[in-house]
Amino acid sequence: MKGIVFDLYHQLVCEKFGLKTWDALLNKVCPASGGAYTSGASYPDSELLALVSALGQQTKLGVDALIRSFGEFMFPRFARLYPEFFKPGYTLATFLKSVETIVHVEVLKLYPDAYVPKMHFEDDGPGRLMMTYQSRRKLCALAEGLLLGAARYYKTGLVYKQIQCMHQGASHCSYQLQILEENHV
Amino acid sequence: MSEDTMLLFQRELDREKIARAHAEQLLEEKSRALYLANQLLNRITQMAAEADEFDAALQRAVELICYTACWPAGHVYVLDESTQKLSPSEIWHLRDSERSTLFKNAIQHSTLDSESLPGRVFTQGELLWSKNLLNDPHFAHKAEAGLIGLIGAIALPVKIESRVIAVMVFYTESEMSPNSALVETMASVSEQLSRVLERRDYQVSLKAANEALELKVQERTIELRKVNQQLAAELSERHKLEGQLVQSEKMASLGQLAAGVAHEINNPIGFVMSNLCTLSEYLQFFKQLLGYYDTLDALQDDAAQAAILRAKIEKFKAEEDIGFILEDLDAILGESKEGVERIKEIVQNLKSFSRVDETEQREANINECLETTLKIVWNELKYKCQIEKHYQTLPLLTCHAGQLNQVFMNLLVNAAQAMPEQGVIRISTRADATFIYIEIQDNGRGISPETLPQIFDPFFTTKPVGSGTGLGLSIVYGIIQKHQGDIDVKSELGQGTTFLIKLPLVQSAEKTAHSPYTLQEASQ
Repeated sequence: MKGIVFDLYHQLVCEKFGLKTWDALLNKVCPASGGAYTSGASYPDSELLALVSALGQQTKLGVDALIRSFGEFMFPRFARLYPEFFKPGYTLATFLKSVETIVHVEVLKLYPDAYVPKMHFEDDGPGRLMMTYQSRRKLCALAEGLLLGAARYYKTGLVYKQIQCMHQGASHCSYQLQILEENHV
Repeated sequence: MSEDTMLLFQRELDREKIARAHAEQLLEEKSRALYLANQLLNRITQMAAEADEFDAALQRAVELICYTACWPAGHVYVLDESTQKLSPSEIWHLRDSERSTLFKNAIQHSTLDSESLPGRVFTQGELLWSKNLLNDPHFAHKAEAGLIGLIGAIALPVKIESRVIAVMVFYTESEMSPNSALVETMASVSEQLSRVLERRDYQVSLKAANEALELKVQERTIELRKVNQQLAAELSERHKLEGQLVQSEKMASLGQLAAGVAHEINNPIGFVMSNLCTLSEYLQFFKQLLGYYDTLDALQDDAAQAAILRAKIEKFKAEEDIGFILEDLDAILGESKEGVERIKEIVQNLKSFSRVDETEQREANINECLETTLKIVWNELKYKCQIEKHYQTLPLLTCHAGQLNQVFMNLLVNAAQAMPEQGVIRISTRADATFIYIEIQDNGRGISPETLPQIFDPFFTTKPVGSGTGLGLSIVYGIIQKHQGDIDVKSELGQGTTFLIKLPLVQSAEKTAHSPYTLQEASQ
């Protein structure tokens, strides 16, 4: 996983729980990298998962809920880091549809060794989208958090319902999304 | 600040330092890779554009990559189009060629295993590397490679239109690291080289196509020139033939005339000849009579003999009917004189008629021209039709009288031929201040409305094959045009045809060409 994700997780932990918690997590997990993350490099997925799970234990919060909030936390920061993906005139739906066709394509150009999930959106009636998510990392909770972050970024109401999940043996996760009117939030 | 907090910050700072150092290293690596890639790509683009031969381009690329990446050996496998298999080419770069001879020979004299590194690059079409060749079961030259310290290898495809046409293999003296930035660079190099070679290939084929096109254009130009020359030759031949046809039409007209004229001349010649015979008989008579009288003179002293001779003379005179002879002599001479006069007249008419090729225009009286022509063609007309003449006094017209005579002759003969029964040809002339009008009207069978527009076209004839050239009226048209005049025709089937010729008294200067008219003029 790219270092940027670790960096943002570091930021999240420090902002929400303080440097002390971060330091404690590292002490507990003892990642091979020593916790010195830099955005351009790649680190094993397991380090992040261990750090998240350690935070769960420490805060008594569910891992999925933590990952979801992490996703929500990441989104506006991504938007600041990579403004070129947030074109004027985009709505939540157009942005979501550009994730696979534009964002991930560009990510792979910059980091050919990066692994990106498959995220596919399809129209499903007025204001409705069907989303499929597939990744060897099975981080559907992160995808949900990013979805919520995106809805907040575009000041659009979003209700989602998971239809199936890879954690329950499905080949991919699928979601029904209902986009409420803009400025509904 | 408590010591714990101090330590906490210290640890965080340490982690930040490590992260920063790592980031700097990454940046350094990425920069170096970018620089290397940039340099390589630039050189490769330049080289491929400069190299004339495909092999030379690949040779330069191998050298460049080896120099830039500090690799000891590079080699190219090329696609054999006939077998569609990769085979080792002569394209090599060896840092130490002497020491590498064994390795080179081993590769050069072996067939490629499709599971070997270059074999797989060929089938998969993408860059692959071998971390350590010495562990690769499909690498057949471990011993030779080991001798010169080759360990890793990277192989890149060279494609033209997505088809792998060559595989470049580079050998390294250390293990080939799979996540090296070099891999990315090499992938770019492979892509760029493919693109450049593809473009070069296009350019070469474009150049070839252009040359082929140029050649074709040249060939076509030569062909066109030939065709043009041929056309020009044909055109001049056609002009010649047309000239000959015009000439033959003239000859035909004259031939037609000759028959009539011969008859006209034969008649007087016949009786003049006959008269001359009679005259020569009479001459014999007079010679004999003179002889008798000479003898009588000599017999002046012999009255008896003289009397006998006188009686003989009287008898001779009576027998020969001298009275008749004396009367007849006057008649014969008168007739002969008349006959010769007639011949003289015909010949004169012929002479004035046949001034066809006179180049100078001269003043002529159109009424006289018509008369001359009528005399010439009279033989053709006299048994078929009557001629009604309505001549008005005309001013003299500067013209080619001979040519106008031919016009009149054509129209008159046509008119006569158009009349199966006894008909009437009405010839009228008149003039106003600017034009002379000549109208030749017949009451023959007429011309059908479909045929009428074509009658002035060259070679158009309704006469049976062989009896008309179809040029008569087109020549008429040409002559009238040449005189800046107009010819108009009105005709009704069963009623007859009228030709109206309008000739200007004054022709504008630039159009009074003196050259004989051509068929082209006639057909305009």
